[in-house]
Formats: sequence, C-alpha cells, structure tokens
Amino acid sequence: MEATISREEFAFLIRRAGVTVPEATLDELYGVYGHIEASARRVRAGGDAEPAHVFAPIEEPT
Amino acid sequence: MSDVFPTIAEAAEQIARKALSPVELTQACLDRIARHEDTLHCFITLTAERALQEARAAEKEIAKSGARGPLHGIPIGLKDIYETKGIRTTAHSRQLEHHVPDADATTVRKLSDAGAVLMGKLATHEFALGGPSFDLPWPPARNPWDPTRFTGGSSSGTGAAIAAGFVLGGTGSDTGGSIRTPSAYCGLSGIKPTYGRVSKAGILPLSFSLDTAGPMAWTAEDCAILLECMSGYDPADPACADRPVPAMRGELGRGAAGLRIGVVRHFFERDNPVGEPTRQAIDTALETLAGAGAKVREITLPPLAEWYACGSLINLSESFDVHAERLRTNFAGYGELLRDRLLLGSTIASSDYVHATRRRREFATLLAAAMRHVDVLAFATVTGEAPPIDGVPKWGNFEKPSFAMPANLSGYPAMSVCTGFGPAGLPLAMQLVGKPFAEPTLLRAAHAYEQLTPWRERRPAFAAPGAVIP
Repeated sequence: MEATISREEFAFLIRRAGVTVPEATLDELYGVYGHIEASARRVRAGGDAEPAHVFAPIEEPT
Repeated sequence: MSDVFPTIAEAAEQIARKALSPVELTQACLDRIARHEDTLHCFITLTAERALQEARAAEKEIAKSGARGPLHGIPIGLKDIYETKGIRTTAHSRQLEHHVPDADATTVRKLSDAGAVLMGKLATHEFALGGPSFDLPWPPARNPWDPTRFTGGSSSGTGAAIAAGFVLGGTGSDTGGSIRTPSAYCGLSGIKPTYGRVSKAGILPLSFSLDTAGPMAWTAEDCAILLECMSGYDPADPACADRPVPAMRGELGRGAAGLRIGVVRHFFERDNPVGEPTRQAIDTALETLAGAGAKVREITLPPLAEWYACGSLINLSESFDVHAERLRTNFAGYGELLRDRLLLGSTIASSDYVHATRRRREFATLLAAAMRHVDVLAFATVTGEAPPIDGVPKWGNFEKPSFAMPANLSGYPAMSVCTGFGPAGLPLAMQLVGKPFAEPTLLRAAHAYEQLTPWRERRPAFAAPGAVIP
C-alpha cells in the first residue's frame, strides 16, 4: 500500500520524534507507512461520537 | 511422576489429600525442563533452587495445616514483564538485561501469597510487541507441538512452557491478542479478562488503555483458578476496577444448556478468511455446544479491519509514548522488530489518535448492543495452525486484521480454546468473548466445550514417555 506523502515528508515525521534512523530503516518504514494512513482514513470515517477524552475536575478533598 | 501432566485442578486435589507431593511435582517439571529447554527456549531466567525451596516449604505447611488453596504447591511461570523482587525482569530486551526490581508486581504477590511455586521468568516478544525476534539476547520460544513452528505471542514462553509441561500455569498479558494467540498456537486455554479486572501495577507497560494481564493454562478450569487469585481492586493501578471478585469457577458446573452464543461469522469467513480446517473446527464446536443445549445465532459487527485500524493506531501511539525516551537515547538497545513498530507509532497524528478513541467508544457501544441477547460471542482466534517460526511476515498484521482487537478495544473478556488439530498435527482454536466482568460465564462456556471434547487429553508428542524431540 503506497503512502500519499513523499519519502522526504515521511523522514520529517520520524525526525520530529527525535530519533535518528538509518536510511535503510527509513526506506522500509516508508514502504509500510501507507497502512498507517489507511488506518487513519478508516477511523476518520466514523460518526460524530461523543469525544472519548473528557476530563472530570478533581474536587478538593473534604 | 516425570511423565504425568496433571492440570492445576487435578494436582491441587491430589496435593490437598496428600496423594501428590509439591516437591515431586516441581521436580518432575524441572526434569522436563532439563530435557527439553535447550530446544524450546521457554525461560529467560529459571529459578530452580528457589522453586524447590518453595515446594519444600509448601509441602511442610500443607502437612502441618493443610493447603492454603488450589495454587498451594503448584509450579507456575511468569511472563518476563511481571516484576519480581530480587529476580531480573528483562521484557526479553537488551534494554533491561540487568534490571532487578525491588518489589513484586501486585499479581506476583497474590500468586505467591496463594502458595504458588515460581519456576522462573518466561520468554516474551520484546516488551510484549512484535516477534519472533532473532536479534535479542535470548532466542524466541519454540512451539512444543513442533519446534520449527511459531508459538504466537507475545506471551510466547508462557504458551510453550505450559504445553510442554514445564509449568502447570502461568501469566501473560494481552494488548492485541498476546494471551489468546499463543494459547491458540500452543493448544491451551488462555483468558484476557475484562480491562480493569486484574491489576497491572508492577507489569511493564506497552499500551496503557489496552494492556490486560491474565492467566494461561491447560484448561478453562485452571484459568479460572489462576484468574480468581490474580483479580481484585488495587489502588496502585489507576485502571483497576473496584469490583468484587466472583467465584471464577462458580458457573463451571452448569454446562452448555441454555448458553446463548452469537457467532460472528463474517469475521472469519469474509473479513479475514481462515483456513478450512479452522472454519470446520469452529462449526463443529458450535454444533457440539448446540447439541448440549446452547442456542447459537449469528451476530453482525463492524468489519474486522475497522476494529484493527482503530486498535492499531491506539496501540502504536501509546507504545511509542512508553518507549520514546529510550528510542532517543538507546536506539540500538532494541531489537529490529519492536524498534520499527515503535517508530511507526511516532508518525501517527494526534488528531488520528483522538479519532481512534472516539471510534473505540462507538465500537464498544455497538458491541454492547449486539450482545444484549447473547452470553458469549464465538469466532476465530487465528487463521490456522502455527506457521514456521522463520516464516512470520514482519508486517503481516497490516495485511490480515487480527481477530483479537475487538476484545481489546471494548475491554471485554475473551479467551481462546483448543478446537482440535489440523493437518500438520498442530492445535486449532476458537475465540469466545464474554460480557464485561462476566468471566464466570465465559469460563463456563469454555469449560463446557472442553468437557464435551477430547482435546485436553492430547499433549505434544515429544512429552510422551521416552520420546525425543526430532
């Protein structure tokens, strides 16, 4: 499954994580990154569920 | 004694009436380990001396005041992500090769308090993700049914050690099938409990919102014994549920009559088609349960790929977060498989993670509605028999979505049970999923099936008296 972003753009994503990666590893990961994009497309296609991340304020201990 | 494979329940009954010595039982396991560990690589750390000391102490105490319970004097093993005071806990990783914790995980303490005999720390996929890996300080565990085959993972050593009779039960963890897959490939019963049922305090994390600790054993009854011991509220784990612990064996005597089973056929016939032997075995299993009075109906859920996409984004994002600092500071300290998966996690956008958590809630709501009129769901655990250990595709899960993820995403309890043997003589399996905190009913379904079939009587061929691994 091909990625929709370029290899350079993908390399930027990895660099942003602060990890130095050998070029051969970068090539391999870029080769499977399309699966991550496909997964993201699938989850974005969902409905408008209530946000799962809700925050309940912690009340002051009595 | 050395060629006998009692279940935990059988051994406990014999120990309680002093017909079986914990020392003899432990020594029999150690004898098997001595004969076959060089082939199977189940252990990272074997604690033989400690095991014999604990067995002797158990024997003395039982003789004086009776057994504490069904785990007293029973040899078990721990996946090497469960922290053990004074015993190294490596996660099968070079990163923690010399890590010796100063405290036990809550579950380890509970098992120890119950009198279980610790045989050692068991192989896993590195930090419970990826595998099999051949570039780590220890080799991957191998399948006792055929050592050229994969055990499944990540609780690989636990699966292999139980099937080989090295231990009678053990612990695993399940983030995306890591209890159920090795249970399937190694022919065991293994249960991923409800998320929150078992404390994770002192267990090395992978993905906080998906990780679930649980037991693996030869039978559903043995799983019930172990699970009851491991369960319970623990304030040290923020995800642990403050719920009473039921008698996990409480429904085992009720059989299959009246059980309502929903079969999710599209998961294993269309979404990720299984091999014909697996499909036939599931159909036969359902017919067997129906013949004993269960009511079977078909259930439809969102396609497996949808569950998998959602679960993998959450898993990879959270796993990267757990390991980010080590990746930056000691990249070479990881094996290739784990390192590369973690790196993919670093590329997931925050908005996609949030979308995935929303979808997760949608899926959980749909699952709850679908199970309103059934007690358990049934579908596949894996597509077929264990593959060759050197032929496991590195990115295979992206091509074929795992059957495990629905239970991890929803937090529902699920287990794998052996449904017979395939053309290569290796175990086949079926997955059963229960309702949240209804493990006794799930265990009842699995136990009923095991009682109706002969599969628990068959062990790996090498374990027969006098046999030698080819």
